[in-house]
Amino acid sequence: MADERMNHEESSRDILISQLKNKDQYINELAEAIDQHNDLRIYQLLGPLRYRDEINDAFNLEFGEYPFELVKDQRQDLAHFLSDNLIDYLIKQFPFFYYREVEKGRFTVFFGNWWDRREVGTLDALNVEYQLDEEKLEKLEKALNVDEPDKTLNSEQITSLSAENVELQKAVSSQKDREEKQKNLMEQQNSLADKGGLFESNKIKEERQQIKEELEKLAQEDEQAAKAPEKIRENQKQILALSKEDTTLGLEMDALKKSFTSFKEFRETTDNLYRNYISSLLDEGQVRSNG
Amino acid sequence: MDKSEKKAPLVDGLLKVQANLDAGLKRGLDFADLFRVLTTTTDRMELLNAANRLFSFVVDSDSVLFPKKFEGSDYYLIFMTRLIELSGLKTNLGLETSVEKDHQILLHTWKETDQKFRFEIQNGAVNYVDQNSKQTIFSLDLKTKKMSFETDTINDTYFLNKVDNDKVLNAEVELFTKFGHILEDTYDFAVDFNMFDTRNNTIYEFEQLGLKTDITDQLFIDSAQNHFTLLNSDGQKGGFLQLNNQVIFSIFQEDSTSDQWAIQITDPEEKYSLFSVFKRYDFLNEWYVRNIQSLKLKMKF
Repeated sequence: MADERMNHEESSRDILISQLKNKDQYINELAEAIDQHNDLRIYQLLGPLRYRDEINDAFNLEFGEYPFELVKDQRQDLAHFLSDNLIDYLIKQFPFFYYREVEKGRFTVFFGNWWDRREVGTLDALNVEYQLDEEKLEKLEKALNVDEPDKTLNSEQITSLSAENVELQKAVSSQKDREEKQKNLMEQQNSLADKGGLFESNKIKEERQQIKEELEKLAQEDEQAAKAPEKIRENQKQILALSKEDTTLGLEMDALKKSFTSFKEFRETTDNLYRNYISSLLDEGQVRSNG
Repeated sequence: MDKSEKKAPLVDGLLKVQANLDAGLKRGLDFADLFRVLTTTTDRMELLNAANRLFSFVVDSDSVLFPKKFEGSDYYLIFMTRLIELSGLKTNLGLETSVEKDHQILLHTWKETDQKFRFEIQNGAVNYVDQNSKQTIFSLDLKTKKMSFETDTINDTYFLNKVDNDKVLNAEVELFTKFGHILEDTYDFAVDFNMFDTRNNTIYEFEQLGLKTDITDQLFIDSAQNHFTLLNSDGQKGGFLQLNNQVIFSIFQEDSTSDQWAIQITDPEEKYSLFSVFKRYDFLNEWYVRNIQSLKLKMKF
């Protein structure tokens, strides 16, 4: 028993070979699944652990927990490959989402097909998950919660900006009146100056003071009126942006309501995408083998 | 001394006068012949040739002056009247002559209105001018075979200073565009119908390059308020509206290098022009008027 290494070497060789064979088999099975476009099988091979946890707890982890590490440099190509059927499925589930492949296997998700639609996230085809922009969706949820008729998320703000513009417009158009008033006041001031002198009466002093104040008030109004056109333009710009947001949200709400009873249902569906999709693939397989 | 030798210069002179008279009268006869062709021929080629020749025909000579003659551009008016007549179009156009200082002029009238139109030569171009507003409706060049509707007039007349008689205006537009089509079909004219072109392949380019997003945003908002959705174009920057009767209104960046934007109207029967779409949809009309500086159409020539 002098040389124990022999045995050790033999067994480690066997293990090594068996491990490599296992990997070889994994790659072969993955290739076969791809060849047959058997997406269910691909997802099983891609994430056996998740499959076991979420779909079938009896699922055998014959290739270990994370076998895909072996071919992880194929991610993009596989994502592209899987997106074919996945997006077909998603179009039925979320008819208002549109996908743009920004690079192979990477998809941006847009809400709607209208002018300047919002980009709301990305699609991860390998993990069957949306990464959605929560802040943007929150806006939609808020808009859905406005339950008064004829009201929108921004309607109050739009109304107040519009009202402000009406006032500003008035200030601009009353310029002539102010000029007239100013002229009269200055004439009065001049005539008071003539009456002045060393021993000015209190009454004249008071009058003088009053005229001075009124003139100052007019000057202030003038100053505001001068700024008005700029402010009006700013407000108009803001009104446009708010109306645009309302319009976009309105279209999003209409679209959402056609497919879901509530925002909550919509979010539950997006959150359970993996389970739903794999189940649908299982059902399909059932139909296929039955038929 | 032979007296006849002395007489010779006188006779020569008289003969010269005689020759000039003959030539002048001959010119008058030629003129009358051409004028007869213009007013009576049923051959469309002869008609165009006669109009072209008369346009630059100087009938007066040193010896013979004809007091009753028209200005060159008036032959355009006769040409237009005759061509419309030969094509069998029913119109409300009437002819009227009016005498100016040393010549007479021809005018078109429009039945039951006080409108008058006349061809006028302005900066070398022959323009069909509304006599009340003094605005050019279209320019016509029978020599180079071109006709072109005027953007500014269309904007002023149909969008900015809207006159109350839409029916008359529309009938006029219809006749003038038909006249353009006849010129195309009969003589192979190049016609810029501006906003009045119903053909699907017409691209209505804007005079200004670039388009502020505010304008498309506004269109998006206005459309939604009128239950239409401005959809996003896939291939290029821009959007489109699916209007009734399968009419599609697109606004898009035609060329990204120059940032040239344009509108296109398509419909299965090629019945709709940009003009008719504006006039059919109030919200589009208002949107156009609000942004008329940016959306003003470029004239092709």
